[in-house]
Amino acid sequence: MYAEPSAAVPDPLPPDDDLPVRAERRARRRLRALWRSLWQLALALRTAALVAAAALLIVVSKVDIQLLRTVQMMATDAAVAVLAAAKMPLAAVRTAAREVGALLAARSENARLRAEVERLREWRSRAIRLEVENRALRRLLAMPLLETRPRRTVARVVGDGANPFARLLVLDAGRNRGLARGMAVVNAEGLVGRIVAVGERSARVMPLTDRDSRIPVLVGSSGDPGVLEGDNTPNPKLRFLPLNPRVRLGDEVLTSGRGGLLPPGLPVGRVRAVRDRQVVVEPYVDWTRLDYVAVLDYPGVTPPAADRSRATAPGHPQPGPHP
Amino acid sequence: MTRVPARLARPLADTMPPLTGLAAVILDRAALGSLAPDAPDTDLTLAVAFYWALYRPEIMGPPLLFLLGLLSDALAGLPLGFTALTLLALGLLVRGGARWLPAQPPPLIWAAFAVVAVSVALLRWLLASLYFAWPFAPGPLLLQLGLTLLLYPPIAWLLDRLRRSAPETDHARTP
Repeated sequence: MYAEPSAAVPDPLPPDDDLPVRAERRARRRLRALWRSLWQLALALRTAALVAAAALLIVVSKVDIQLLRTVQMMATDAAVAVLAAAKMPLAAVRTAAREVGALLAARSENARLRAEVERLREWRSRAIRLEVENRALRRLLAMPLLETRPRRTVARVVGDGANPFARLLVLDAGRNRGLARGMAVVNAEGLVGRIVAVGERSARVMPLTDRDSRIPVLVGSSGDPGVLEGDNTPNPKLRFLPLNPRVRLGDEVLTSGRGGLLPPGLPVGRVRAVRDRQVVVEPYVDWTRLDYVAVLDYPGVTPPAADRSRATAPGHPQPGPHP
Repeated sequence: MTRVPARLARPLADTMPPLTGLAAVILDRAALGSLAPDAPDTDLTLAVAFYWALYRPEIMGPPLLFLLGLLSDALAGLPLGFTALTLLALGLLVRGGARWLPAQPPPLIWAAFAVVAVSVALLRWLLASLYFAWPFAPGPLLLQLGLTLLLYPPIAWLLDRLRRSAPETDHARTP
């Protein structure tokens, strides 16, 4: 039922009995406001602490502490199976597409492969002849024979840095398969890069295009030595070439083996352009199809003891650090 | 998308931001596309973090953003704290708009994402240039930014569907 509003004006002042209740309510309100402010302050402090922690971690990372590297590789170890699983559906689609493409191009591919086999047969006989000659000459000079067949470990590329600043590849093999820092990573086409960090079940590869990559190389038939320097572009540049280099377009670039870290003679790429005093190299590796790679366990070449003692003897200059 | 039972809705709604954030980090770091040094890539983590920081700020708060950033750095081989710091910056930028922005039309939210993404990219570029002492070309970063902006609407649509399939019962937000 609708009730008529009372004509009497209510007393704005509550009876004296209610005063303690109002005071208590006011106190509670104040307490709540204080609690809210404290809570907001705690949240702000938490955010500030996390920002400070992130900034501190960045600074500490610059110092290159082993513990942080270990933590990074442990996280990669833990994620490597998930990374491989994430790649699986796409890999299946790619394989199917490649199969269909191969079927369609079977005829022309067959002709190309026949021509390739002919060419390689010729090269093989030349290589055998040269090897025999090389062995004979080495024996004549009493030089030790070089064992140029490093042990190979096949691994799969399951991750990449995928950011504009660094693009390190992640392999699904680590110490458990004998991988170690500095090992060369190749595929059927040529040098991919080298291992820069190893975990128990994963390893990180610095591709030769990375801005931190420096590979000692030899160029073309002239054999000019140089250093292939990555700059985060698809085409690394040749530096530290000798004066008046005899580099020509299309010259093949191979690892020189200097420094003893990488095996000599690994195909790296081809000279693509010479511009602004820069020699631009196009790597052989097709980055879009990089899936399985081989990691080379190259024992390296240690200088003979006699040479070492001579190098450190007074009067003999110390060898400078290798680029 | 079918709705989940009410008793499961809340826990499911609360686990969606960390789970989708984790999936975004993994997808960003998995070798899915081209591995070429100049190949364009997207920043799914940024898009997912922005979405949840807007719609579920109490879950996608600074601690979760920090952890996702650390994981991303560890997997990418970047200095630890690099992505964590940029995601925390994202959280701070989004916090101001988290009250009123979810109720705005999608184009406005997209524009807000563009502003945040540009700011975060600038911060990343500055941090990387200072840390590595290398003048990184802005091209790849701009390309990544562009692709991420293009990818945001479908990602937001997908996450919207996910969020609506298990709406948080206590404080359901409507965009």
